[in-house]
Amino acid sequence: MTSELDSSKCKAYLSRMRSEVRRLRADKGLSQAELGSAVGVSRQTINAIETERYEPSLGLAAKLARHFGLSIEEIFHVDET
Amino acid sequence: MWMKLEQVPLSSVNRVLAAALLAGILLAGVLGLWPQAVILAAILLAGLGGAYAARRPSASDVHRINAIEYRDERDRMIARDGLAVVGVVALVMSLITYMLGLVLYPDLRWPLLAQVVLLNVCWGIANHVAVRRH
Repeated sequence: MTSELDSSKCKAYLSRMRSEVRRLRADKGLSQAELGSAVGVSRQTINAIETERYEPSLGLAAKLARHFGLSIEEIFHVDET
Repeated sequence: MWMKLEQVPLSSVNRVLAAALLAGILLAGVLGLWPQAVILAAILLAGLGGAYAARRPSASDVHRINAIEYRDERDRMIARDGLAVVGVVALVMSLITYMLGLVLYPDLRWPLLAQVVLLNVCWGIANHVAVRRH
């Protein structure tokens, strides 16, 4: 019982957002600074998104999606494992 | 010749801090407190230098956040986390200072109490505004 509860709690905390930003940026031959400048954020923010340390706001996710000509769902995936 | 306030290349918080420091320098000068005026001027120059350096594209995120020159939503989020800790420490410290003041400096009890009340009122207003925004 306790382990089930712990497991469900852990699941909630473990759900993370993966992103395709690094791959898409590399495909376009952009540096992190160039992509950051294009969507109005710093190089460090792009790096934090790529390394999954920071989950962007809906607005920033939309800007990134528009920049790559894709939908938000095609760039960001929510894992619940 | 004169810049409009919004054209000054500083964040709004840094503009307020710079104005407060300038006022302090003038006040210290008028009162003849030259060492204090020099200390405040040094703080102002160091702060302005740090803020201008933080606006360079090559500046690190820590530098920008410490200089209160946020570039994007992540900077603002990190700064909120940091300032939240400062807020908790300030609330606790103001209570401790008030209690110590009651024993050691009874003459200062009203200004110290005002500090406690002001901080708590600020906290309440900030919470109210944040709830309405989100």
